[in-house]
Amino acid sequence: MKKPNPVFACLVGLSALFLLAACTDNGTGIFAGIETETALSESYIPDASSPTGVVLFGSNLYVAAGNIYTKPLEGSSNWTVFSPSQIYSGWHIKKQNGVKWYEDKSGNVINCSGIATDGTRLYLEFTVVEGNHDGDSRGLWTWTEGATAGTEILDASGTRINAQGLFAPIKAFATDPSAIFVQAGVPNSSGGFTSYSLYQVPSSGYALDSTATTPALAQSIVDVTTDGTTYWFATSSAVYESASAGSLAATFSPAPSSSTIEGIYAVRGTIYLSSRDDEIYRFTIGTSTAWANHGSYRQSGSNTLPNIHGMIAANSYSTAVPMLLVGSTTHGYFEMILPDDGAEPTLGYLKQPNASSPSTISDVTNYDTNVYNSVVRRFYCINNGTTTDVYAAGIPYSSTYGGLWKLTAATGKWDRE
Amino acid sequence: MSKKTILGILSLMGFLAILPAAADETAAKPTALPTVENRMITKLFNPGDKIFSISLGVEDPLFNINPNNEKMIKPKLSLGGSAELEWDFFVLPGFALGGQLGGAFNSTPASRTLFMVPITFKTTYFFASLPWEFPVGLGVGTCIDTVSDSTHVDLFFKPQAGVFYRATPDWSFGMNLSYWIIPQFYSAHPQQSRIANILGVTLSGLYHF
Repeated sequence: MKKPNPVFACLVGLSALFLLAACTDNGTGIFAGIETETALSESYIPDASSPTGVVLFGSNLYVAAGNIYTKPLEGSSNWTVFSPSQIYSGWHIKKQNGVKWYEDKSGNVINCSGIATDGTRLYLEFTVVEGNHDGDSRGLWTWTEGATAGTEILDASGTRINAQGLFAPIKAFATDPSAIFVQAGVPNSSGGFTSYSLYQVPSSGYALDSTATTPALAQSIVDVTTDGTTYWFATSSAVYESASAGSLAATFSPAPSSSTIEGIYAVRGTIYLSSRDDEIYRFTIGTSTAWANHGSYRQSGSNTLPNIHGMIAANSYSTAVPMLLVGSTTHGYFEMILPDDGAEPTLGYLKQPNASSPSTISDVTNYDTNVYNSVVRRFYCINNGTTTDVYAAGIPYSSTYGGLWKLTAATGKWDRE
Repeated sequence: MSKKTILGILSLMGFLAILPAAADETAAKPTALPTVENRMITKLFNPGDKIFSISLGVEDPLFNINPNNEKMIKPKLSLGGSAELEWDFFVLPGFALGGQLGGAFNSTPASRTLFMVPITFKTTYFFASLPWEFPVGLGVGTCIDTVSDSTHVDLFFKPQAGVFYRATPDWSFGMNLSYWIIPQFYSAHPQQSRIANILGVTLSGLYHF
């Protein structure tokens, strides 16, 4: 057999490379995009944190990210660490090597792990992350702006709860939650929890209604959503449907096949479930008889979805095209265009944000250099009086940032908070 | 950058490309085999000889050209690192054909990393005054450029010159100076097209076999 000419072989190889090579073109050139890059803004909410709530209470924003961070909605003031002594006199800010955290008088390290508001009161969930986990520095507290002390909300028997999740489901495209729920864990001897109960948080008074507790759940609630009338509560493997927390035993049927549910969101007559098995499940209320999945919502041009965290509906930049935003555990988030009638999305692919099509963003390079560098855990919407800005809470990994990111609706650009 | 400058660069590349035609006239043809460390050098860039080289170095993005308005633009890329593997096969005295696989990275202002993987078909002519060697070559090929989720495959041109010292009969060590030209064109978004211009310097080891 004749030996191939090495020159010919090289030319064939190069030609094949040109033919086989695929380009990922998101409308921004690589070199041209880098020309427009700017350095990331300095972050005030630590990159190593993973925010669990963003609310507008009065004229100030509050973020639960271990510490509570706050700043005025208007103006250019930076975030500051909220003093926990405004909640309880025995709590204070500890600072070492530029890092700030909350401690109680006994030296236990306290985290604010949840935050919600009904517009009248701020609700704060505290957990002890280092020290005596069963001590006084935990539970559910409420606070009003300007108050010098908070008040703890106890269960009906006057006992402190082990708060394990604060949920404030907001109807898609609305502003305020119609109810706030808190999950309490029943501790076991090994430091975990044997079961969980869900309570509806009262809008007045300081005691949880005993009749509102649910039968104990073996798994914790991971997310709650509402269409304004009904609530859907998701554990990692089941969905519960109820008009209130009190009748939570009514398991939603049919059950989704996923056992790794991460989030649930109801919008335009459809419930979406995100799961860690690389799927989004979809159920049209009153029509569907089974959860749809198996690739209907996979990323355009790809055979796999990223594992998914939070979801939220938000309008696209510059036009009023409603979008479902889905956080990914690899980079940033994906978008899905939602049809007005709640039907199957005709452009039903998750896609990367792209400034050249209906999208939440106006600048791909800005997206690529900001929230793309984060694993998005949850989204939060804040109405600034004119438009609704989106906040994305990140989870810190070795190569990605945690902390908080903000999409300014008026500009379609992300920035680091 | 003006059209004249671009034409100048293209002319230089053309000159380098036709240089091998003169290989028979200018290639080193020592009448007696030279020695290094008392060993005779037998691999003297004759047909059938081969070279494998490995290089490490730095590259500095100098400027981009916007082909839409021919303006030079600051690339906003940091000094980067590069590595290359090359194989050459001598087809004429002093004249080799081969291929080069490289990799390079640069940081962007937002702390992203641009990765470039050039794959080139290469012609090289070796001027020699042993133990000194002066390779001059031109690489033409493709460069896979990636930043974040964006990947683009571009044309790649790389004129290159070096100086090496034959330290042993089998090994030469030295450095290369190269100029990378990466035309990156977007047919759907022509305003995003750029021609990147990058200067590279590497330290290299050549193995003759």
